[in-house]
Amino acid sequence: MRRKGGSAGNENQFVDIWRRFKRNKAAVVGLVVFMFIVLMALSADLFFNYEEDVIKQNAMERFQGPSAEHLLGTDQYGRDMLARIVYGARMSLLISLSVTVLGTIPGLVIGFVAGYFGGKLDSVLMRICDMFMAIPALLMAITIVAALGPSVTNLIIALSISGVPSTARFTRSMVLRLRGEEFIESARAVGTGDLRIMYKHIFPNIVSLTIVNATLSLGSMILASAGLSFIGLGVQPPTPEWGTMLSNARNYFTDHPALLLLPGAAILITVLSVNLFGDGLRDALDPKMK
Amino acid sequence: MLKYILRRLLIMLPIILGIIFIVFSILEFTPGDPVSMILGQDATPELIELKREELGLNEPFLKRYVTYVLNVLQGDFGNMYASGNSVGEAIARRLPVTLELSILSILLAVIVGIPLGVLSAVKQYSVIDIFSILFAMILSAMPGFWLGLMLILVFSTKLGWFPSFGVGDGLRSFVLPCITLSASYTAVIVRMTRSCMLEVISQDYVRTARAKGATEGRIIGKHALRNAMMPVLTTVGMYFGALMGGAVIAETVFSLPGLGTLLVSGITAKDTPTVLGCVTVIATSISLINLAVDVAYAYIDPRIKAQYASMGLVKVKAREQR
Repeated sequence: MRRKGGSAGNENQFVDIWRRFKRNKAAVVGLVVFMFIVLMALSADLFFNYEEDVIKQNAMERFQGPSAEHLLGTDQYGRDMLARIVYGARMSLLISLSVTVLGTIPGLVIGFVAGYFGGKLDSVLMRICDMFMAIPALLMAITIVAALGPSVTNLIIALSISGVPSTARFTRSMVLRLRGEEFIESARAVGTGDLRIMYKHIFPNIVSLTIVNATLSLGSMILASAGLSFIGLGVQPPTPEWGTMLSNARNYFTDHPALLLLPGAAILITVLSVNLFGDGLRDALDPKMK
Repeated sequence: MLKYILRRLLIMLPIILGIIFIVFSILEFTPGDPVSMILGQDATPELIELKREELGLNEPFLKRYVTYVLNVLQGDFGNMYASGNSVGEAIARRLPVTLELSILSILLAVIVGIPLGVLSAVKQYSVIDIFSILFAMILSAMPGFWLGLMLILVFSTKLGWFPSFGVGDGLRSFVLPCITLSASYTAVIVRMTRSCMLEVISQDYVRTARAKGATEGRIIGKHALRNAMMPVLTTVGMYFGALMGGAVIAETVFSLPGLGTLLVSGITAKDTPTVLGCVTVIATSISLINLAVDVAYAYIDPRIKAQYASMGLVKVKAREQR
């Protein structure tokens, strides 16, 4: 499993991982469903007109049931539900993917520095992480959005920041474990510089776990962004986002349960597929680690 | 033991000061002036200046931070900008609701999650195992607020069994919010209990107990469960923070007069003292819960108690390593 620098066995390794991944039926289903959602979000413009179907209100067509014209019916403003859910997927994926990337990279750097150099720097960085982690991630995100004002960009910033400390801690623990290994020591013995050791010898060994971790956090980021949008601190109407749609449906859902069921089901299916895929990826990368 | 608790409380102090500092800075260095929020758009510059002076906003940042911390240590969280009401009183009034909500939710999650996880592990690959894995998977992929709204739709609007908002109905008011809040927590506990039990069941001492002719109930209850509970307990403590975050959303869904709704209203009004007070109190209670979990360890596991007796900080170190 462990690659000790170099890239000789790279291709083999991916084939190996894929072979193990394929055996996990649930994970494959998760991957297929997630791919479908991503494709749907990417190709939304081919099927719908954003201004016409998603934003423009149409008082004549409120609360319609499913029909040939509106496959999933219409909402409280007569807008096509399917179109709004598809564009909602675009929003959710955009937010959660950017948050996962933007939250992981600084966390990786901090964890690397703390774990590799150790000493005082490590203590200071970890105490700061402790403080950040004493505030629940969601609460942290709420506070930051509150301070910056609700918008998509600020939501992404807030969720990214709230994800940094845990990534930093996770990375640090992996780096700490590797630092004592013999192959690092031998690299140092032949005079390899710190940066090169980090990049060539440690990084390849933690990259797979980092990717798994990021995948597993993707689902919770989708949930968190929907939650923040729901309490009015995320995506603002009329931009379609699943949490915002649910929040706006609050006054109508007793008479029109579809307004509640559809966006919620969209979140559930997306998060479920991401989680199944993430679990499968984790097991495939390292069968020992459950 | 007491010495250990005291020591941990001392370590907690700088962390809480740090939390206040972080939240203080976030609210300080972001755009948006609370004074113009209070006085409205057409306030004259003189009026704004007067109000700033009155609220002490003209003092340097660090000085205000120190003043705030000193006040908090004496139980004074300041006054709300808009109404002038005491933040401390509002928190004291609302904290019980949040505490009741979160404690009941934890209890519910533990009562449902642990037996389900144990059953699932003992009867691995059976129908009940598959059911509980699916159950946990769906609960953890479901947004809490959506579950809450669905519960309202079914159990308040359609069936009229439970109220859909407020706390006017005693315990009955807490049924739906607790289910909502405990859902993802239950999922975590089921999964954690299952995997820990599976690991413990395959250990030698369980086989020994079987060989000695101990009944299955005794093996599971006395030998396996007690050892499997350690990581589960850690998880319960670790996720308490996430639970408090979720409480904000659950309280919003059910309009409960708790800390979460106070926080959200403070945020919308850009009322710094309210936001600071709420976050401080929530973060402090999380630290206290973590301490309680560490102490509970000692009661479950005699080995750790022995460790405390010799060197007080072993466990803290062990946690840092992870």
